[in-house]
Amino acid sequence: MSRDYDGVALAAPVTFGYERYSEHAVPWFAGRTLAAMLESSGIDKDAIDGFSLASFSLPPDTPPSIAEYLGLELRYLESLPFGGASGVISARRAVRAVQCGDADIVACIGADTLNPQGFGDLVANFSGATIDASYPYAAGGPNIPFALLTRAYMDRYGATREDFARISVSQRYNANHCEHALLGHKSLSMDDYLAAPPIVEPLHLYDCVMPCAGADGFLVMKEDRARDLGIPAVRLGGAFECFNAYPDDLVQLRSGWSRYGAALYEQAGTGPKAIDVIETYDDYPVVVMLQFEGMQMCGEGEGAAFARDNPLTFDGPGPAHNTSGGQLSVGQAGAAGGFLGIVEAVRQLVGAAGENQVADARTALVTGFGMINYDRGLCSAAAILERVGE
Amino acid sequence: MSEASRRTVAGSALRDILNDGRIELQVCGDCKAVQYPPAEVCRSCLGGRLEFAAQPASGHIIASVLVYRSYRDDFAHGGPWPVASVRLDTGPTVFAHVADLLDAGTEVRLAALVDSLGEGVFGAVRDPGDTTVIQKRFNKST
Repeated sequence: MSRDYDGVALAAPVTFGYERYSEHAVPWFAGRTLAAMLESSGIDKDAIDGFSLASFSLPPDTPPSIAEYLGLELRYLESLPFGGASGVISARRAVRAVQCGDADIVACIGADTLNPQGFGDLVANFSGATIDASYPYAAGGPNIPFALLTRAYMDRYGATREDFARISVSQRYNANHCEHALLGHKSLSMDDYLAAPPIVEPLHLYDCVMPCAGADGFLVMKEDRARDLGIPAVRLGGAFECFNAYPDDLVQLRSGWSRYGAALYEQAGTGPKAIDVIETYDDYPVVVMLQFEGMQMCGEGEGAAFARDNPLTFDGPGPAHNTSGGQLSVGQAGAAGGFLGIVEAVRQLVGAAGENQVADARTALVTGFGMINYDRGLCSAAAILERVGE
Repeated sequence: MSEASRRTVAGSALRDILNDGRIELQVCGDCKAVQYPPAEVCRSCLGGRLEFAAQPASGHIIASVLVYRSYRDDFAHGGPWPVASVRLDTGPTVFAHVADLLDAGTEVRLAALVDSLGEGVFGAVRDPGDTTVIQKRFNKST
């Protein structure tokens, strides 16, 4: 087991600028998100000496050029090409940097812009394997790999479209109570879900996220510093990152959560039943179920039953799940989608959520999953967050 | 023929081989592991001598799906397009065009086809009839 993460805090959760398309570039999203984080914490810009950035639409800019653009002098700069796992990984590494004295305050931000051509360009040029072995088979982008995975999961475990619907429908209910969720003004019923047009069967419209622009971020600093500033904070009870887990599995029905989930609970001194808030990476409902299973919320192949037996809404009963509506209802702002869960978890634990606030949220599990390359996702991660002072 | 779609160097070589109607995959000159997707380095032993060679092209369906929406323009019409993941007996997983939705475990062979861009691609077929069905679908959408 890796060393504990004591003495370091996550604070100042910010979600900024979500919209379907934007004419702004990444520096706008990163800079305005940082400004909001500084304003809410009362920290001076010059106190930021660490920066951790995840963004797909950053080129031709780079993380160093963003530092220059935002007038930051840094001694820690991290670039995170891990997509949906980038938020947890950003937090884990920033906490380590602060713990080791390599930085005092790290701004962790996922930010992406989107124009109407942007997502098509991204999927067409995602990787060598995508160019050669996915795109000629209509499989640019994640829809086809996840349709194949969904089909295999249905075949293996008998899950149905009604089971997957419970993920999308419960998240939409949460989004209906969350101000920044782009689809939060629309309701979604089981009937709506089942009547949706096919995208890649067995996936239909409400299994898929809507690409958008936006940013999510938080600050990492010593717990003492947060206390002196008088800002509410959370600590990392444990965390892991994992790449290319179980590469020989025929179908990716498990990932790093199965490999390191038990050790994560042990490190945090907690267990699946003690989790108040679960924030999973929800690019598709099937992946949510794999995260429930890998993190021992239920047994292998029981993700559908778990979704049947629990309302999964912010107001319960039972564990609250994807309390902002997740990417399925907030929108997927590129790499910011990988920050959405952890930022929402911090917000819930410090009691800064809005109508969708979970009552007495003390412990949260955040899982990440990213970089769908050819037939599987290559990055997985998870973290347990605890309210400071518990 | 429209402009060739973007490929890596090894991917271009495979496309040309399939365009000639041949079924070949890269084999490592050191450990003999069969490679896919196209690569420059062996995934097993990191050897740098990967050569295309004729392969026993049999395998079975892992899963199949129906593509109604794709970011690639030539799949925007004429669909839905059935696509499958296939585990080859030699090890790798290959995405391939199929004639229809096929159940997991269905035995198939790889076939060399020419898609609507005029580029060589894999089909996964149960019999020559499947090959005809898929090729006709491409020709129709050209």
